Amino acid sequence: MSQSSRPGTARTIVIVAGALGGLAVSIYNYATPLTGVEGTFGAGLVILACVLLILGAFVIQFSPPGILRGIFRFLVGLGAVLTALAAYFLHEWWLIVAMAITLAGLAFDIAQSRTASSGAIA
Amino acid sequence: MRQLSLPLVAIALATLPFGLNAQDASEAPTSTETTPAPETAPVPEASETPETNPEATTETAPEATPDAATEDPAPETTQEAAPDEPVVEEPAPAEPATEEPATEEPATEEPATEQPVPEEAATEEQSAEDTTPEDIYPGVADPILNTAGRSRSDIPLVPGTTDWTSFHGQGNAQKYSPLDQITVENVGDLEKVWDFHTGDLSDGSGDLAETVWSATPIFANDTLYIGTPFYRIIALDPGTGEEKWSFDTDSALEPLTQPALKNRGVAYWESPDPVEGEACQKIVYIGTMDAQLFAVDADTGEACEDFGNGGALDVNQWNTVNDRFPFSVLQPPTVAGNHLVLGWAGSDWEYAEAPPGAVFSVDPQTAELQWSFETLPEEIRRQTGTANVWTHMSVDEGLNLVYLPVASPSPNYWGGNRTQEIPYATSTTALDLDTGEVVWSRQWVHHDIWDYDINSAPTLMDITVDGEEIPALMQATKMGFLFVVNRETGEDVWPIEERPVPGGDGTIDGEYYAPTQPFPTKPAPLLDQAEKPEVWKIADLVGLGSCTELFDNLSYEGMYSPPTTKGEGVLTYPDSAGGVQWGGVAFDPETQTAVVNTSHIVQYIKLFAREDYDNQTGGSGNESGFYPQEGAPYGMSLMNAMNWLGMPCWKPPFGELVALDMTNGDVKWRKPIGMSQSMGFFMPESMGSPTIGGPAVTKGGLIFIGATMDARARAYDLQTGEELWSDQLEAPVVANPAVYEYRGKQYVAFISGGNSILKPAVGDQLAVYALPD
Repeated sequence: MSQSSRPGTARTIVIVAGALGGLAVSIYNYATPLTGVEGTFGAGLVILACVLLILGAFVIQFSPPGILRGIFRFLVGLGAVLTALAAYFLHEWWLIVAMAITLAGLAFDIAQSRTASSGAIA
Repeated sequence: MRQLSLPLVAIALATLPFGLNAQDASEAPTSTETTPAPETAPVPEASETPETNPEATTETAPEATPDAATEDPAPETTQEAAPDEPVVEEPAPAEPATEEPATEEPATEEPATEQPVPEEAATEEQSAEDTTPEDIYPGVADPILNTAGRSRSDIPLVPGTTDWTSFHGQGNAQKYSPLDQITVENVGDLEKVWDFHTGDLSDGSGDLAETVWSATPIFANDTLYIGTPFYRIIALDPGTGEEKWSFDTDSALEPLTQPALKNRGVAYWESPDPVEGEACQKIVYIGTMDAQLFAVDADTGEACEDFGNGGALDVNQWNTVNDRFPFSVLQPPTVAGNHLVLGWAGSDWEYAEAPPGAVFSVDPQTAELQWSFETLPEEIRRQTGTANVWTHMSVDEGLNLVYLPVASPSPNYWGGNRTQEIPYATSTTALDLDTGEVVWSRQWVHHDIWDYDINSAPTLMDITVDGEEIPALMQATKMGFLFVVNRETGEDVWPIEERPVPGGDGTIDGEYYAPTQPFPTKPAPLLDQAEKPEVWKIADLVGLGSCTELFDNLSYEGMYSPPTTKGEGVLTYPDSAGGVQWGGVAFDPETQTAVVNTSHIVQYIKLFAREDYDNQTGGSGNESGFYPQEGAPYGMSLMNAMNWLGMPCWKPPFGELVALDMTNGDVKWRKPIGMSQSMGFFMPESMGSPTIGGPAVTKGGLIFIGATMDARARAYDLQTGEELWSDQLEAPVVANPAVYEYRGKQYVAFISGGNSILKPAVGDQLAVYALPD
């Protein structure tokens, strides 16, 4: 059996960082007057999306390799893309940046897993 | 009209509806006009030829007026001046109307009208109403012209002042400021220097109805005055926003005639001969939902005790005919010299018989009635109603004229109770300021059964056409037509042609259909109402074909397709939410450029026989989209053409800003304005936004405007239409901005008050911008 990653490696830390940044941005836009989206459903929705991304990152981090982790990686990736799209329509430009970081984090996570896996085989 | 929800695209984790709330864009016109007739108040009445025969203004029933009849049974068509439609010569108008340009067009052999002239209905009505037999087009009021012209005093149309003293800036309704400190080059540096929150707002979630604040700030007396939807006046320092004083009318905050607590600001008057040491030589006025007009000293905020009864005039005292509901004075009075001219608003779509429309002129200091003007012929006043003036009027003091934008009669979508001619309904009517007598009148919709209220003050402008200086007036409309006439005489500047329009499909009992309607040949319509709007494919896709299905089930033969009981009803484009609303047209007198914002909105109307209506709605009421038209044989529904997600079924753009060269009537440029928004999600600016509110223009070559769903204030280059600046506000700006100068600095002020017609957002913000020091 291949090793999923090195124990203790925070593979998803960049995902969490991106999603946390997105959460901060989206809360600011929801709560601050004159953002154009203050108190709106859409602005609330991306807050929820960022929370889910953070949770997803933890699930990926702690789930064993296999289908479940793959599904969550897919969902986090999809969620980040769709949240970025929502951010575009909400004019939350910094949230798009945050989602780009999240996606980069996902790539990093995948790369880390592959590296660890390759290393184990070697 | 109802809320228009325009949700858009389902994206990402969410769907993106953008809500265009179409509430009653007609602002619930209802009026009442009593004939108060105090000794000092002559009551001028309808007349076909008031100018040449002032005595005739004592309530001449149009159908009984011989000159309303035409001896020619089949109107000849005239040369086709506009692309699609044959032109029908205006039935021979009253004698002064011989110069009607449309009638001067060479005739063609085009059939008089492809629409069946409803002879049966006409003859029935004629016998029933004792209509003059020669009048083969009852319901089609002829133009009432003043071909003799009118002498002008030396009061200029465009005042030299930089004050912003009324809802539309000045009496001419040009919304023009001669200030040029802020220019195309530096407007990008504009910054908010202060804002003020009144605290007078409600989103409707509590005990209070929601607020709708369609006000323009007034700058006069070195003070900025605002009125609020809680019926308070607040006086502010124009440079800092510091409150100087406030006055509370203590009016009950109940939406007696409207779906919301509404206010359109305040009016300002000052004495030309102020008495030293006396109060109320400068006065600010505010009206209330229960039709109390308050007068307050502009310096101190104290009530003017000599005005009305201890500082307030009870306008509702004149509500004595068909008083189904009280008057509301939401629009501040129009100030014209020593006159306060006021109309009123009321409940829309509720009743067939309603208070009849009337306009009152009262003394600015005492509220004594000077004259009143009734819009409905006496003979039918009790069987119909409204045709009131619920928005601002415009004034040319040089000609001593006040211009009334008159709404449609009741009920709005069935006219079987009012088949006679009602010449002043849905018209622009010019009255003599001193007497209230009609000088000229032009009816823009004959026998209006679409609620096409004339809803904005006509813009007065001096223009040069073919080398000739013309004292003109431009009347914007819900239909998207811009009618341009000579404001002295009422005659066309560019031909306005009577063209045949569709008759009914036979499903509506008792209805009469005007065989022709007036179409301006220039400027071109702001939107194409001749063709059924195209379905927006994205909305259709998201709606799984529901948009196509809906459009297929809606009849449409052009804008004047009558309401029906068949199928889903009749498609209306535009209807009461579309075209131009009360912001009206701005005009730059230097470049002779007119600027107007317009909305493209598709709705559909269906009539229900009374029994069907009651079954449909569970009884007459104000259910979503359904209105009873109580007293009429038909209730009605008015819906917005949406898919299941609330996305508009018609192709964008949903709103545009248009500039017109008034020397030739051509469009200089036009572009989508603003972004539609729902649930926070913005749609691309290329799609535009429906608009409520209007522009202001400045000598600095700029257009300032809010008006869009995205609640932004914007500045555009007047010459090119390029957007140069914007800023986010709390809620849509649903009136015109104000431009003023204080202590050498130019300011632009926007009231961000919201209106449920656009989206469910309310605001209490006054934001003021200037260049940095």
